[in-house]
Amino acid sequence: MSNQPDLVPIRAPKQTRPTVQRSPLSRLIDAVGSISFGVTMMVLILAYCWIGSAGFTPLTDWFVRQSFEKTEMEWFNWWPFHVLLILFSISLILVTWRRIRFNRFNLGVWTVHSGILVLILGAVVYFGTKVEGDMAVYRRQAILRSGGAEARLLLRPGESTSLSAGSRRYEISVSTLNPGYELLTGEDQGKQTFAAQLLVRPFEDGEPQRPFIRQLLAGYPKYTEDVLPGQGRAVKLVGQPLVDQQLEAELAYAPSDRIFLRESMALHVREEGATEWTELPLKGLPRYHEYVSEGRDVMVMPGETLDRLRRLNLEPRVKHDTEPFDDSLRFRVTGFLPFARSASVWRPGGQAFNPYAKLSIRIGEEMISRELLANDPENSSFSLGDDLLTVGFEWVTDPSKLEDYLRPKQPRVRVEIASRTTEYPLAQVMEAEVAVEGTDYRLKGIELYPRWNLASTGETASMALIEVAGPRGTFRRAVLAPFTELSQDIGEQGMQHGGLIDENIRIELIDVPETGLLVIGGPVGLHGLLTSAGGEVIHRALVTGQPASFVGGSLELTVETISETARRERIPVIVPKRERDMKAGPSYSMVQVEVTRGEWSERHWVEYSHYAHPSIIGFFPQPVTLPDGRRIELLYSRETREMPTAVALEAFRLETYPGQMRERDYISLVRFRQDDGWSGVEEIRSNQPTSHDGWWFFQSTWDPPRPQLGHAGLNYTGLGVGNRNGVLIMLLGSAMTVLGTLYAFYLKPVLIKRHRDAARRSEPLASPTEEERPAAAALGSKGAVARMGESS
Amino acid sequence: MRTSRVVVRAIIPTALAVLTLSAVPSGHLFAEDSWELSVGRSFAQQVDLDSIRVVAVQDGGRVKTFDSLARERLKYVWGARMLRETDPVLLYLDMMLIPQHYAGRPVIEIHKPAVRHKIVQMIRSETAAAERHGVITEPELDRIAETGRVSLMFLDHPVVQAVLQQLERDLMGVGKEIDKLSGARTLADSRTLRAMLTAVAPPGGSELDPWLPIDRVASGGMPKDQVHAGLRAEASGVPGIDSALARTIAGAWDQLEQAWRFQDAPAANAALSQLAESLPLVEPALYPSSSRLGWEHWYYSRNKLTRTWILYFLAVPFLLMAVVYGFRWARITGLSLFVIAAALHTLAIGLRWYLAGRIPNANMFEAITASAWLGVVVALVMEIVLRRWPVKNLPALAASLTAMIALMVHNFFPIRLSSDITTVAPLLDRTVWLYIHTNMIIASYALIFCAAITAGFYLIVWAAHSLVASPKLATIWTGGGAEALAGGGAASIILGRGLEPGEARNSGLARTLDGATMIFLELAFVTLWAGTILGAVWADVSWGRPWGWDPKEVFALNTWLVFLVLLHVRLKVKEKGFWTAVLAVVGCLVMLFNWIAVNFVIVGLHSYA
Repeated sequence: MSNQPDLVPIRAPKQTRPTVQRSPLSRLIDAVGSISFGVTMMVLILAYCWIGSAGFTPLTDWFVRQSFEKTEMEWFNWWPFHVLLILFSISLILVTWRRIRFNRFNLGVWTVHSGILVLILGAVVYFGTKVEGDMAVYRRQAILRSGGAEARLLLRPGESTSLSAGSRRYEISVSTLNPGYELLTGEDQGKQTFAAQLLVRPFEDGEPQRPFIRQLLAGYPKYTEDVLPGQGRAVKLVGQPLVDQQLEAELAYAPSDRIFLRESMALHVREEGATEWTELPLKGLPRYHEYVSEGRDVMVMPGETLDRLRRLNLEPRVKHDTEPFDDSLRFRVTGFLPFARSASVWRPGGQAFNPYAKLSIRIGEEMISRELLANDPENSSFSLGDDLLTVGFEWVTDPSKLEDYLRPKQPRVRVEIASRTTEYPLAQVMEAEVAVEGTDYRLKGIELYPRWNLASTGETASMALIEVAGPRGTFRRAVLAPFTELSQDIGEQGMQHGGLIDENIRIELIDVPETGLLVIGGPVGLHGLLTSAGGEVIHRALVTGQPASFVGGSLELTVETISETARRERIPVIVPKRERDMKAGPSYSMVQVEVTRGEWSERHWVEYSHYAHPSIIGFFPQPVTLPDGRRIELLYSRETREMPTAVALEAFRLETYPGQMRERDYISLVRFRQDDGWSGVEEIRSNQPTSHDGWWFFQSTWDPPRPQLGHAGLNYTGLGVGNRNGVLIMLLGSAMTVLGTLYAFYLKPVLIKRHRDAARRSEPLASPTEEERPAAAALGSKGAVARMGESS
Repeated sequence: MRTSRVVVRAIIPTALAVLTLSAVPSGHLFAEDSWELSVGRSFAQQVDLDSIRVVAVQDGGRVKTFDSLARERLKYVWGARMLRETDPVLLYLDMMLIPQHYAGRPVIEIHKPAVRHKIVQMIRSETAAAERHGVITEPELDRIAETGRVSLMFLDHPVVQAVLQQLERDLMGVGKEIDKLSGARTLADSRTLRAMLTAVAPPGGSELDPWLPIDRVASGGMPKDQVHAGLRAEASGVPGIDSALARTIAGAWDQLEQAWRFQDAPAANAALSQLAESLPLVEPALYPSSSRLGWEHWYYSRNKLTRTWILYFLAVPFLLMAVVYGFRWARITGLSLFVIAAALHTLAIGLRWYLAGRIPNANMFEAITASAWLGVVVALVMEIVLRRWPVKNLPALAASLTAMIALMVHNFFPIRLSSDITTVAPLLDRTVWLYIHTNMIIASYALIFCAAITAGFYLIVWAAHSLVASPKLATIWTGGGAEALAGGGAASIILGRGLEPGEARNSGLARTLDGATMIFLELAFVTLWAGTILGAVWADVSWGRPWGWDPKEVFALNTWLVFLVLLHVRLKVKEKGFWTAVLAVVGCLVMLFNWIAVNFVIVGLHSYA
């Protein structure tokens, strides 16, 4: 950084005679120590910064940093940037040392250049040692004791625990939490405090006893009391504040001494039911792009495609100072999705009888692929083209049933009048009016609906709308098959409710075919049947994976997979790029973890959990059953780091603007653990962090109320925690650059002017002295020196 | 004598004309067919809304006038441009009291053509032609695609609802706009308008307690629907309110509703006047002073004095003539206009500061107007300090153009650069860093813009001089000397070389422009760098880290790097003036990229944190 007067070569590099051969090192030093090289470095640093932040915007939408799977912090802590900074620093040192004389005129530029070097040094220290994370510190936990047993219950919605003491057992859960409970009695009336109501279900020898609610108030143990649901306070009902004296409960701080690092992910593993996790840091985990080894591992939304299949192969290991989880188990991360949500799908396999088929159907140019389950009414069939074609799947074990399906149908209309029955082909009735022999009735088919959904039962039936002319006049009868008893008449007044207009005539549909395409699997073999409304059946024996044509090739059916068993699996659905909230960070990411023991291995997708403990933000441990029946849990979250001191939340306050609708400030009152207990209360709020043991604690997130869930919120505070090594060095360097710039721009010309004026007064006709030369040179040219003399 | 004649002839008439123009209240005229209000023209002209306009309401975390509420909220329904043509208070009351009139009318504006075309296209693809009836007929869809105005009935149609739900998920595309549309739909509902009219201060409450809607007093908490029509709760819906006062307010409110329905202007006026008198009495301790409410109404109705850009605009040609030809009369006229504009600009900033109760630099509109104002202040100081140097007039010229553009921007993007007075995020509230860091940064932005103007001026004349072989132009351009100053801007002034007083004629425009650019750039360089460092100090105490390589931070660094390159390139190249000008313009573009693209695009879409 400099101004024109500063960088004029005051002490020019030594001129070498042409006859002397200069060494390559000298030439290199000359090149690196030139202004051109320095400017080139500045331009490269600028370009690196631009690309890292905005990619090639506004030229293209290629975001280079994301292509390298690097966060901003990682991009600017990467070796190419370090190389640029080192070269720039070397150039800066050489230029300053070789070209700018150290005197009072050039003090500014020297300060600026030194400041930049100090700033870079500070940045190296700062970013090289930077640790940053956050922790959720809850207000309180309940400590529960009975008969020597103890349990702890963290006070957040949905939390529960159990406590056993001899023959007595308690199941205790958090009922309600009130961050602003107002005391109603005694000298503390009107004060507000945090209140927890715990639902206690006692059991004696396994027999449930009367449940009760225990209310605990932070800071007021004397007001602890029980309430019997639906009846009132125990003190009024049983004459004493506690229903169950054997259960002791008190509130205590819920300190936290572990932070979750900001950008470092980790796989956490534990035995099911254990409280502690073993942590395996995920070094090199991608952040922005999908890594999927097999297309079937994920689901892609219609119209979307997976860019490419590529496998991830990370073998996370525990930190060197940590005990391994289980030497016989190996964990590998084989897939990563930056944006996905979990969906439930059926997969062939498993133990349960659940016939499954995956079909592909081509109609004209259109290709449809679907999965069907024969035993699931909701998933055993589907319709194409506004119900034009129904496709079903049935599992048939009885060969006679298959024969029944294959038999061409002869749909008929059976008419019964006064015990006399007559049958007519349905096609005849639909084509023209039919006079029923020996009666005054005439029938005419109006419309046939092969698949009619019954609004009352949800079942599917065949329905024919037949116009009936007879002694009771002309009306229409909706004849349902096989539910003839549900048939209804439609007269001039509309639908006849609760009966028929003419009960003397009974009309039935016989042998009405189930039209559409039916895939039959099972012991009877694999078959495809296309049945028309007229009862004709086109039959194809099918082979898995081979297409079968119907109707001259305009319809093609392929059974891709068929299985007698199927199991439900959760599978990630990739969120389309357009629907991604890029501010969400890793919140919607998933990793695929392969767990291996000897020959056995299983792969599971694990969703991201913000903390390795339950929180409102989400907690998704993935259970895995090992071959020996042991169950473990996998959790994909962040790497943690232990803090030297635990921090507890005394209280959390929210300030609002007028109207109490907008937050104005978040205030955490915290205490730090000390040898003799807890420190005094320290206040953390926006723009007001607190420092402890070299770490800064600042307000990061909070627990907002969720009225829709009945949560009053404010149960915890989210504290950001970070170290600050090198900050003062950076500040010193920055201050030097600012002061040096001010000196160079605004003070140096004044000094030069004074010096020049003084020189004029003392030696009006003298040539510029050595001391004057900078001033003369600062005027910009050899001519300036001459003019100075002239003007004198 | 001559000067006073110039003042009388040139400045006063111009200033008066512009002041008159600036003072015309916006949104105060009622056009006969403007928005097809339910009420007739005569009622609209006779109804006196002046008293109700300055009634206080609590909204968005502050107490404002009803007029401000109507302007701020209804622009998201009708669109800012449309709203300027009618009286927002009249429209608010009409939409609230006669909702059935608006159900089928195209009241909501979908501003972006791409969004409305997408909605129409989706409706067409989701429905068969035969199913398009009612509010989604073909001609109606064509009209919506063209005008972008839709009715509440249209938005409530099941097909449209399904389409909007699909589009809402398109976060990278139209999702945000669909969110806004849903917000506008809610706002246009008369129940929302009633609920937002929180003009009843809580009796015995504190300034933090929520104010209550007038409806609560009038109905005693009964819903305003057909089922409860004519019913009134025994007790008032506002605890602690004086019962006689509650009856008065309830009576006036009922009377207003009746009068509005029957278009009885005298009765409506009486009711409005009664309301305006009674509402401050509910809790006088919490009610703002009438002068504060009056100033707020004045400020809002004068479009936040953004029309001051006209004065800056008028100053430009005079200052330009003063720079190129050195006309003294042009300098006096231009500077006078500039000073008047600066005074109005200062009044706007000061008034906003008073009304907001905080420094007005916290949102985009405020940052832009405050940035320009800081540039103007620096230019005024420069004009005083450098009044004998050839660079005089250039600071005023550059600052006039900067402020003119800044104040005009609000007119072009009234929704995105909302000029509403708002509360600020907790991080920005009650912190001294907002005064230090933000002001230094926005001041540097104004100076960078000023430098780009003088640099752009340099490049234009340089191009003309290079292309046209005109001796006269050559004389103006170089004056027989170099095309750039040898040293820096401030150094040249202090050392008295190249920009000496009295050298205007023979120093050449090139060196004058180059000098002015360098003076601006040096100031910008220091303020930008110091402001960035102080921003890092602020980040350290608020986020626990001074520097996180956030795009905003990186582009502040990038802007500074461009000027760092400029200062060093100037040492090396022969065409110092040309390259200085080019890099000054490049630096300005990077600064604008940081202010616009990084704020609205990069951070929103590509930030991992």
